[in-house]
Amino acid sequence: MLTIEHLTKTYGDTKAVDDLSLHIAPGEIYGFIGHNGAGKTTTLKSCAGILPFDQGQIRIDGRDIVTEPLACKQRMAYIPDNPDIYEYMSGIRFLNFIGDIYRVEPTVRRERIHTYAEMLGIEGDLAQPVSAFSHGMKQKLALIAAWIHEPRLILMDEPFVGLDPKAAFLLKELMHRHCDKGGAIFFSTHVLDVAEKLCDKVAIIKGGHLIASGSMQEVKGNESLEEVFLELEDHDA
Amino acid sequence: MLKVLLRSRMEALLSVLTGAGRTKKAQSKGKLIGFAMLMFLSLFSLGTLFARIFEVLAQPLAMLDMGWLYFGMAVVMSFGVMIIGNVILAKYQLFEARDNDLLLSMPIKPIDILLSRLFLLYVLAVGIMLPVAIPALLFWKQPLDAVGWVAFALIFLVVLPLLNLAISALLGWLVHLASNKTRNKSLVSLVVTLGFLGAYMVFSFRLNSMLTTLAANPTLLERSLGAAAPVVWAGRAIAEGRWELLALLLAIAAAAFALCLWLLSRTFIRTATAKGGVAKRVYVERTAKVRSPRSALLIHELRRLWASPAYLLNGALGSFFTLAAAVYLAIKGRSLTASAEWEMMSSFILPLILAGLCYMASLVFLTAPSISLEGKYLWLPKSLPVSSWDVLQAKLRLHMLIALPPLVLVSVVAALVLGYEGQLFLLVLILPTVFGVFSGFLGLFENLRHPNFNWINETQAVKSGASVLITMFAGMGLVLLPVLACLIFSDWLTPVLAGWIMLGLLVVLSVLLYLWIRKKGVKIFEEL
Repeated sequence: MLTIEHLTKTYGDTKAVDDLSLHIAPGEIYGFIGHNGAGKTTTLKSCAGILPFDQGQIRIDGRDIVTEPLACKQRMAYIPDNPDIYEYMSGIRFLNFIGDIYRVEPTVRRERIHTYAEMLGIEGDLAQPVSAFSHGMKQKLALIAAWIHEPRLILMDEPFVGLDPKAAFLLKELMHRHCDKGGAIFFSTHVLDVAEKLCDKVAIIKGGHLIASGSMQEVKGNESLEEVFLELEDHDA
Repeated sequence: MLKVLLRSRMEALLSVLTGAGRTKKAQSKGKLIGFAMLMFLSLFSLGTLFARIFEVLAQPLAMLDMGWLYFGMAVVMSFGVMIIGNVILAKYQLFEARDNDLLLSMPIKPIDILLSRLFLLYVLAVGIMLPVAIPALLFWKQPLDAVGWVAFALIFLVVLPLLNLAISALLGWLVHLASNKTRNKSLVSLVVTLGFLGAYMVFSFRLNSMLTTLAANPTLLERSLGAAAPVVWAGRAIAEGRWELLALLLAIAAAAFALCLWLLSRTFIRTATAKGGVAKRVYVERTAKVRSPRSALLIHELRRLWASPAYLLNGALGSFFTLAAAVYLAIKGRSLTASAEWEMMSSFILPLILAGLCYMASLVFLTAPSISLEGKYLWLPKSLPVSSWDVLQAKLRLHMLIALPPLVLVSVVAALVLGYEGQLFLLVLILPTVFGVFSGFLGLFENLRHPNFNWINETQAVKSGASVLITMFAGMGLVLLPVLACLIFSDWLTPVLAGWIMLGLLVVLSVLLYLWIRKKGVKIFEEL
């Protein structure tokens, strides 16, 4: 579903991501962990077609993000760590804007908005301007916007930050359902407990380099993910 | 603590004035100076407008021994400029500043926060008033005595700014309260600003006839100005060196400012942290109207424009003026063309009309801040399945949609009023329209080259970006080009020929800019 090969991205003289390769198959929830500034957001933004990169190749369903950006973007959704959503729109206008861009049929769109908004508990707030939304509500709106066109791949940067416990639980449910239907999810997180319980596979990045990746069992063995992460961080330091 | 706050306000102001806050990198000295020069140039242009008024007024009023009226008018004009510039700014600075919550959470007295913000408004008020006050002083050739000089300095640097602060803060507070209670905040700001501008323009237009009437009848003049006694006192304090009037004005200004400060300090925390009292809108589920991605992008641009008073009032103000000019010409056009002055100017009419219409076109610069305005939302168009060219096209289409219809309307009305036919009709119709198209391309070109994503509020992105200033001045320069060419080469260059040459030049420049945006502009946008 998502193939990253030898991705390298530099900012000036600093290599934010260095020769990173990963493969995320359909049906997988892939966690991406690392300390602040390790290169997680840069990798996710490169996959989303937001950031141009220096070397390597990123393919979504076999299509190259550089040569076929629109076809790739049509198949995926991206949620940033701080979803800044057009504050001058109401929630429902924003969702309809997204629906128009992805050409989602009006009846299908209506049904999906109803389903997800009700599930996340913001249906009654959809007529309000986004400027009146709290961080968590914006996060929920961004989740609905991501799911509205039923993408094959969902990229999320710290999706659990700012969500209330019920919404976090529902998001995990949504992620499982998405992957059960053959979709894939690649997300970054600092919440290692969540990653450990939720992910099929995990990758650890440090200073732009991938230092461990594979199935959860392969990476952590009999230890907790937290212990392995801290050991790897210390070992590499 | 107040010192620290004042320093941070001045640093913020300097970074806006020099463009240093536009990029994450340190600003080079050359760019810093260039940007400061552009800011100076915009104030200088304002100054030249007022210089022309004072040049006309100075001699006749000096001959009539009416120095008090001359300076009284300078006071009124300065005050008007300051109020227009500061009311909306006072609303944003005092009550809607993004760092209000942060500062209120720190061990800082609210009065210090208030004073630091008022100080910034004071500096801006003085800055915007100087282009009026300096020409007023320069063109008055009669000697002023020592008290007169002191009165001039104190009235323009203390009395007027303090009164302006008191009134701007009060009006800004009322506008903030009104917009907090309504859903359409943009409409409130729009109505207030257009109201002020309209009143000021009516006053300016009627200035000449008012002067002629009043100067012919001094008794009527004294009686008419009775109600505006402080204006007369200010004029007399400067022109006649009346210290007792100066003291009175200082006392009034100090009292007004103290009262304003007392009122604001009592309500500041409550007002600054108020969330607004608009009832929650109930969401009613319905099937949405489906749009194509390109229409959705255009509608989104329109919504952004309508939701941002700063963007609407700065970028599209020219369209409001153009519509007003079309209505004015339709109503008054015939009587205007029948006047004796019109007859005398007949040979200059065509270049003046063309320059005027093109000038109106240059006042609409919606594309110039459009990339900067993406700011924190840039991730959205870049992550959605729309091409960068579609995103840029939506910005251009917004400009054309807002700028061109009023331009076509005013051009048709002007051509009909002037009785133009054939090629003259075509020229008056096409040239301003093509100028409008060119302005749209130029604005986008400049903003792609000079984007500014580090703004704190939209006003900063809309008003102070290099792209906005360059687009504005380049447009004005191009308007003057054919007029100057006609004056310099008057022996062979007719206004009609100059108009067609200008049209050709604009078409070529527009095509070049279009091609640049289509190829290089798209790449730049993708790399932002």
